[in-house]
Amino acid sequence: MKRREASLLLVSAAVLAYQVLLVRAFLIGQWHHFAYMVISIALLGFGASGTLLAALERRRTTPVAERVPRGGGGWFALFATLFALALPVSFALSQKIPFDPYLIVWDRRQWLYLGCYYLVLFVPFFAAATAIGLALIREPEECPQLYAYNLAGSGAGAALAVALLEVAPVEPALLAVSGLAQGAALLALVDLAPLGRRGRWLVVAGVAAMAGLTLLWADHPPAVRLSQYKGLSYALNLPEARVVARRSSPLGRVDVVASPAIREAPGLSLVSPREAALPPQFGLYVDAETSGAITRFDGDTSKLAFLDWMTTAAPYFTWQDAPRATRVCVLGAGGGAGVLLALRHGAQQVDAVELDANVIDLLRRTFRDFSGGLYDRPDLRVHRAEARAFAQAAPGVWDVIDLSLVDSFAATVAGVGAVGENYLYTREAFEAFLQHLRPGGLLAVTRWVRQPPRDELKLFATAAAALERMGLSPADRLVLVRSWATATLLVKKESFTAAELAALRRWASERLFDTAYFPGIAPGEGNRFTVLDRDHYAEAVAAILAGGARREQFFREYAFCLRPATDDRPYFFHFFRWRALPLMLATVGAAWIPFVEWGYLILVATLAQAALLGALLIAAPLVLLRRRASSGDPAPSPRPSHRGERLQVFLYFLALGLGYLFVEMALIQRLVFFLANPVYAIAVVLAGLLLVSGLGSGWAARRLRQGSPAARLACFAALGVAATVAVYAFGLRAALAPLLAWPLAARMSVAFAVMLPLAAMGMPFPLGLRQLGRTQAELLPWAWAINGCASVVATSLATLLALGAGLAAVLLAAGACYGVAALLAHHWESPPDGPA
Amino acid sequence: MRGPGSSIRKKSSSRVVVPVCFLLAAAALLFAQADEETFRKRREEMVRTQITSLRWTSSDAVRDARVLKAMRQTPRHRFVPQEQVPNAYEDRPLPIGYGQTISQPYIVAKMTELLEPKKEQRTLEIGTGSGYQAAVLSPLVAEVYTIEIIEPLGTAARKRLAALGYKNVEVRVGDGYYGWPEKAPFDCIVVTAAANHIPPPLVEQLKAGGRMVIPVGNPFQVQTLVLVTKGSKGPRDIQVRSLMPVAFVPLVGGAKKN
Repeated sequence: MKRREASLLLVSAAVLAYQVLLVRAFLIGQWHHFAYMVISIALLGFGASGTLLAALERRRTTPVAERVPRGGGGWFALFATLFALALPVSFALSQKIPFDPYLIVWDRRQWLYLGCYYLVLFVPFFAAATAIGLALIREPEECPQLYAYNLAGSGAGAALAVALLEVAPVEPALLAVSGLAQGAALLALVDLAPLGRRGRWLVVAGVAAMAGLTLLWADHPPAVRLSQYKGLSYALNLPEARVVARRSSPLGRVDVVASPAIREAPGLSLVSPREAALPPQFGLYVDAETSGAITRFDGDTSKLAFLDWMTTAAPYFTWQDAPRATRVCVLGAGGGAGVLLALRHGAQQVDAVELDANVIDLLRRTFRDFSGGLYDRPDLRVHRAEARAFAQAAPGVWDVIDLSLVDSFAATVAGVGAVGENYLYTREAFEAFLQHLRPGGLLAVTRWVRQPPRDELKLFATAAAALERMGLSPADRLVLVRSWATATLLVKKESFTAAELAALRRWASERLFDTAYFPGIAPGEGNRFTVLDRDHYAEAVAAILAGGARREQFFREYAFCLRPATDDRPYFFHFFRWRALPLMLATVGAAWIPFVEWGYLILVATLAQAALLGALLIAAPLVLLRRRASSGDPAPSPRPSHRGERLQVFLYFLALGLGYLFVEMALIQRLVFFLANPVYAIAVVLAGLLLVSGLGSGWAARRLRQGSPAARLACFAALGVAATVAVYAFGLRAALAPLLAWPLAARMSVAFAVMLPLAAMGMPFPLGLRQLGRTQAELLPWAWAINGCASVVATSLATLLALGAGLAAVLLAAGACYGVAALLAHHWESPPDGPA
Repeated sequence: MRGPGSSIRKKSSSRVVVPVCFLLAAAALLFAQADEETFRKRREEMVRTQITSLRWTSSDAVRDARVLKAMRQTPRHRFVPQEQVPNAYEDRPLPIGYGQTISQPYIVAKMTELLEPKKEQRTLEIGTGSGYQAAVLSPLVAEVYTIEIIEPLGTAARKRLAALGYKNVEVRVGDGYYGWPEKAPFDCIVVTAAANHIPPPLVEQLKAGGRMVIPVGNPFQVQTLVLVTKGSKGPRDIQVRSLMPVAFVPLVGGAKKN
């Protein structure tokens, strides 16, 4: 590998690692949908670099075919250096912008701040993209080989980012990536041909600036700016509040806060007695958002009476008249509230499932004494695992499976989706949970109540669908208990007995909880304590249980999407419905704002912005290139391009840009389930897909040298990808499901094997560039711009498509894109012989 | 050494300065009055367009004349940070720092109305914020006790309320979880800072027949008002109502096709 290629590899690695780390930083300081939008738009830097490349091309008079193959190193070095300089500056500046997404509806200044975000974050991506684009399009003949380095570098960058986050918080990890970018710049600078005096001074200035920035960073490390509206910010305003422990991993940053004013008892009954006062607690925050608490425990469960005064205790009181020896599985155990509840009710054995090793470690070590050695008890088994995968693959059966207020860590680490996938609340997940219940056992799922009701009704519909699929009638197997703040759904494989129902209802009414649904409920019985002007629960539950046309009509007419999520469309949190928006605006005017499901709208806004800006960025190089043609420059290529050919170029690179990202997005979301860890899924898919497609690109380069025709290679590669993803669309989930119980290493190998046939994804793009270099070289920057913009548009488009039509549809769409590319490649004319 | 001319100059300069100062002061007063007049008009408009407006269904619009009067009287612009003064009367919540907000005017009015405040009553507020809600309650009840947990906010609110002459409002900086036992029981309680549960001690400090209101949602998105009423048949005689403050009902009960 030569220095230039090594430099290209490092730039590619650094820019991808930077992207992953930036998302992580934004998840801590802000909210995931905004993080996603801001970074998507900044990534349009890749599209914009095409415009700059076109402008640079305009200045050049030598036709591509006659150029010195290794020319243009100066520009590459310049932009690599610019990237290395912009990366730390851009991050530090971005953390100074006082942007508050909540205010954006009212405060015009926030739009300015948002624009500042875009601009500030855009620069490093733009510089890196220009450097990479220069490397590729200035040597179109070498494109497949160079593209292989680019892809391999990106893949390594993704893996590196995750590895860095395993050992360090996001800020030092960024410093390391900045060092990587500087390494790339130094390599590029060293590679420059003998320089004049001025050139030498410029190089010295660049190196000095990089060194200066690094020293500055080391001396004043910039910290992630927390929005004042994050839970952690609020907690730190409490009296005597301080962070007593902080851990960091790719899954998120965990903060533990001490303050006498921290009290976590979601939906505690209004009439909970003095004896049920809360023991001291530490607040637990994941990515600066409230995530439960660590409660003081000395082994005496009688001091935990408060736990009985929340709806989460419902399953245990079902059996209060006929106590049974229980085995309990707490999914998403976190600070341990569910575990304490189980112990208080005499559970013989508790399985606590928690994904974040940092949380487990905090309880086992830092807060071991405070939590009474909770996670080291002999009657407790702690499993570091993702809840769904654990329940799916575990050999055990339980009396209670407790899933309380758990929001799985959405796989947003790489901006995967504004509306993240979640495999805990799907119909198939509920089936799996139910299959792991002992006879008479209960699945208990608790969520926050929102008005108008959403989450709890979707849970109800999901459980009903799961029971029906198991051939069981839902009407006598479901109970819904609600307070003003939380709702707990109980699901049983058998019918609830009269004694159980009597015990439950007695317990609930003592606490002023409404039993919103139970088998045999009479009108008005579910709306007695927390009274709604209109009993939406009764109406919704009746419609859902009626099934058939009535249920369908209800789903169609309700203001929020309540259709159960499935493993193919794992979007429990997707409640938004377009048809509700005009009605909302018409009926309540500006007051609609609190009711909007922002995640979805921001996704749409991201797509709209990306499409609009992308169109501009794609048009700009064309305008520049046309001016060049009319200004009478010597023809840069054998003949000027025609409109029809330009259309073909446009479609080809658009299809590839969309297709690649569609595959990437869909695979990440599919493999999150299979690898049972969002971070591994992202690392494996990003790194794996990029690496194997890098291999594909390298292989294509070798085939070309052996004399294979480019058109055929590109055509077959694209067809191969189309066929593979079409098969994956229908068969991947089913094929992977039986392997879920395999150990992680084996599952990772399977995931790699899944991606191996997709090595062909690395071929059509560089082969297309090479072809373009031979026939219409002036369009090379344009092709780069199209690909860059299409990639950004594709991420939000893929998510919208998945929300609307499922992940299989995204894979099929990707297949169609590659099909189009294959068709276009098939029509490539055999090019004139390029330079040897 | 001062020459004879200096005193003359001094006199002549004072002859100029004094009237100029007077004029300036008068102008400032006029402007201030004009300003106050503008703000008064904006308050009128706020009440007309946001609080009693027909866009709310009849049960949602605020009707209580005393509450409307209090909303008209209370200078909301004095309870927001300087840079938010131009927005003070707009139909939106406003940030007051420390991750806290003051609710949009309609929500404040609705919460106040739901409390059914009476002149002889005693009110407790948890979460003073800038003091606006306490100021609105002040003319409607006998005493307002308000607790703010964030020290700088509480101190600023205490000064502000005193400066504006709200004599029946007492501000305490501290943890409101245990209420204000020395002054309990209360006829009305507002809990603007409920996190994940309503503190049971507050329910205990509610008088029989008393009313408690809790806005639910994040600072910028109040979605529901929870109204707790305590009956006279003992501590468990409690009813909770969950109210959607907007006319959302047509949307959820099977939307009509237009």
